[in-house]
Amino acid sequence: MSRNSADVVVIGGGVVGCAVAFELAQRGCTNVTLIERNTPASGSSGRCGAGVRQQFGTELNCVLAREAVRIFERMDEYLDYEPSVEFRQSGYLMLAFSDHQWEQFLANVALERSLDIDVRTLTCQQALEIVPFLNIDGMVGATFCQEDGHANPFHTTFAYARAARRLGVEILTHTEVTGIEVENDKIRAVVTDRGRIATSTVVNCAGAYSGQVAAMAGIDLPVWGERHQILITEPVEPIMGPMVISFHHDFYCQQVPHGSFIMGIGMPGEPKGYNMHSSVDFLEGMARSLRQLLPPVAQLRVVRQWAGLYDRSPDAQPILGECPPVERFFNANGFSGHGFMLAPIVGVIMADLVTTGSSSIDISKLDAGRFARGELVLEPAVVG
Amino acid sequence: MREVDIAVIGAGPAGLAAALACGESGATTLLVDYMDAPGGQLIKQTHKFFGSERQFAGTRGIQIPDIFIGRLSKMPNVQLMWGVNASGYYADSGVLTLEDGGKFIKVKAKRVIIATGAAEKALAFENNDLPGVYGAGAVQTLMNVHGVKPGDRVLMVGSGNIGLIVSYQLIQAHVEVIALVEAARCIGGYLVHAAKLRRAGVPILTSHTIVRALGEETVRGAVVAQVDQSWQVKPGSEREMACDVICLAVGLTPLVDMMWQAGCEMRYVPALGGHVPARDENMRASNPAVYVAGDAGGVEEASSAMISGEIAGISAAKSLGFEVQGAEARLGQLKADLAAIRSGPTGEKICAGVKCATVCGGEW
Amino acid sequence: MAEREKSPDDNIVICRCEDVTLAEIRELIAQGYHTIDEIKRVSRAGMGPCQGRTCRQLIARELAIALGVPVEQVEMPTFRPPSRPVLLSTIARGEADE
Repeated sequence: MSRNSADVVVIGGGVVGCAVAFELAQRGCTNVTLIERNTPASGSSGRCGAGVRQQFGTELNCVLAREAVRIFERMDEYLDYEPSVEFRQSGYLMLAFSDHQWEQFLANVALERSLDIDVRTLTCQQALEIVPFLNIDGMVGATFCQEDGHANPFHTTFAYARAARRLGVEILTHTEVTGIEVENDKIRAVVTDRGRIATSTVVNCAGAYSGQVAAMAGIDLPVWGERHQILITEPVEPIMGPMVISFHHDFYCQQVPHGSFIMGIGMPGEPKGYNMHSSVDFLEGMARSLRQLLPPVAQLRVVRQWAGLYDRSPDAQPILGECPPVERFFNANGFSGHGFMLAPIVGVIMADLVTTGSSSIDISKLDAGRFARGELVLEPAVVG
Repeated sequence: MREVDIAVIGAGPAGLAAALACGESGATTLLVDYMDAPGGQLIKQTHKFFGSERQFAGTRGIQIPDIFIGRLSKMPNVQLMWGVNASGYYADSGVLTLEDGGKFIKVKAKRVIIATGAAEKALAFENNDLPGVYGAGAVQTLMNVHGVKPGDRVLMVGSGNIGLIVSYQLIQAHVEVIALVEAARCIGGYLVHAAKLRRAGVPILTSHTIVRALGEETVRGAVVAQVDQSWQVKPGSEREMACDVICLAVGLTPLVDMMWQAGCEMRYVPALGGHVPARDENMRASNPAVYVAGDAGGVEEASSAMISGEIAGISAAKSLGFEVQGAEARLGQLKADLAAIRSGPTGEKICAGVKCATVCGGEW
Repeated sequence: MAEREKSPDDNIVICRCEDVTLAEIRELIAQGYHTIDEIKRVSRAGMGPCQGRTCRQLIARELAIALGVPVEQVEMPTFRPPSRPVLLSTIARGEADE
């Protein structure tokens, strides 16, 4: 370990941690050490569906997502990365299967449009024009945003990590945080299995393990792991542009640039925990939902199934910002399944908060204290 | 969901022996193989086995599967499924998934014996993806199962038993073996096989390796070169040979993906071919519902596979409470037979390898 | 980034499924990707139908040489179901007759 002190220690080398580290260095804060206990993107960032959307039901999420997309649009250049983070704006097609859901969608669309997000409402027939083999039985309508899309989560994470390193950030891999020294509510150091780093500032980007990390600083943070499963098929020529999502079926499916289809469904009753084994129930459930919604895609072969963890919070919304009573302990976690898509703007916001004390987007509603105050954020647009 | 006491995956010599032992114990047993007929590598082994009578000395490999099937098919507690691929083993639920044509079958198995054999290792050399570059197993299957010559002039790479035997079988099929190259200083396989090749006029070039395959659309030649003691090519020693087949017999590596799926502790043991599951003396892995047998536990030969298969079968059945007649004595005899097979000069490395892979006395 | 000069390593295929050459593997190791998992994620080596059965040992050997460690110290990625690609419609059907 080369440095035994740092201005900021970022815990967690997923896409969020790497984005935070990069944005800090961009602002001249280069005495940053990022600690990752395995390798970058070995956790949730390397296991996720990697969809990027702006279609949300709350203003804050819409604004965050919109700003994240703007960064994704120019990311290769922004991070000077080769080959590419493969961000494709092939759109998100969201399906409604009940009148109630359709009403919620209409409300979302009105909100999104008011925030400069270009979304269309579609009839079932219009949805068929975009995905001709979609099974519209029982469907009420759909919404579509062309600027939504998908990126390569490995390249994205590595792009941020490399750009951060280039600016002087030290990234320690295969290094585990074992303790955080706090004295009189001030951080003194982060302790790892390879040595101690004196610091006054910590950014907790530890994903599903953020609760454990916060506990090391004496903070009770309600973030826990929740298994979500996913599978990928063999590649074929491009036949489906957008990410297709149905909240009713808790289902998503995307054809990636390589030609494979990546997809997932939520499994009811999944317990809290850190189990990342695959299950046959998921495989069967996924195959049946796929056969139902996108029949031709079920004619493809699954090549691999795996699992990863959502970093869940009580209202399935991110936890961002400083965390009293401990000074300069910042959270950027609890993303509950939409962390990848927000990572670029979260990096910007956290770096601004850490270096200046304020950020251009007001994220005070997403602080860790909201749970005790009973002010949960109710976001209707979340998927398994 | 179907239920079975013991599922045996792979009906090569190890799986056949394991299934027979399980069947004899009275346990409900399922034996599956993804090929349309059982036997694994035995279906290509036209030569006579040597060793002890218990391991079918004097019998040709191709005849052995029928001997097992003859007995297995008469057991009402044993189900045989051919042309069925074991797709996954889900350790959390003990469920084995099988692909049977257009059907996807789930089987809840109390014990699983993984006898999936081993696969050819790949070799990295220039133009190694040219058509005409084969693994030795593929050449053996083409010739002995389908009666098809892979080409007319073969360069064999590797002098282990597979390289030597397949070279001889190529000659028997009137295919020319232009040379056999071996990177090490000594021949790897039994000298009795090497002697047959020498008598047939095949140059065996030790301390040589293949550097490059030549050809545009298919193999038309190869460049071989001498290597020094640190496996580096000696400059100026390169020479071209005309051939239309490059046959790679550079070793096998155990097919252990189901062991990884099952969360078994894996160890890297070069002498056994690569990663193998750690196991106790009765072939039980770190996941106590899982056993390993045959080449999947470490690359040896068919005789050893039959023995380890029987050990695994007896042990799995006993672990479920099934009475196995004279189990202790049988296990003792089997382990002695295994030690005898491994007692030759080539067996030393195997013994050391097995020791690395074995956890003694249940000390997990 | 300057065009890399061609070398014999460009003609040595390590991952047959995804067409990844030895030159690419060595380049990635030089760029700081020191585990099979990272190399897999950035190059797709090991993501094809054989799921790394053919290439992982070759990549492990390259890493061992580059990092100066014995091959057994190179961490192996795990294997996940299915062992061979399976039609999703077959899984959906299960044991039912069509």
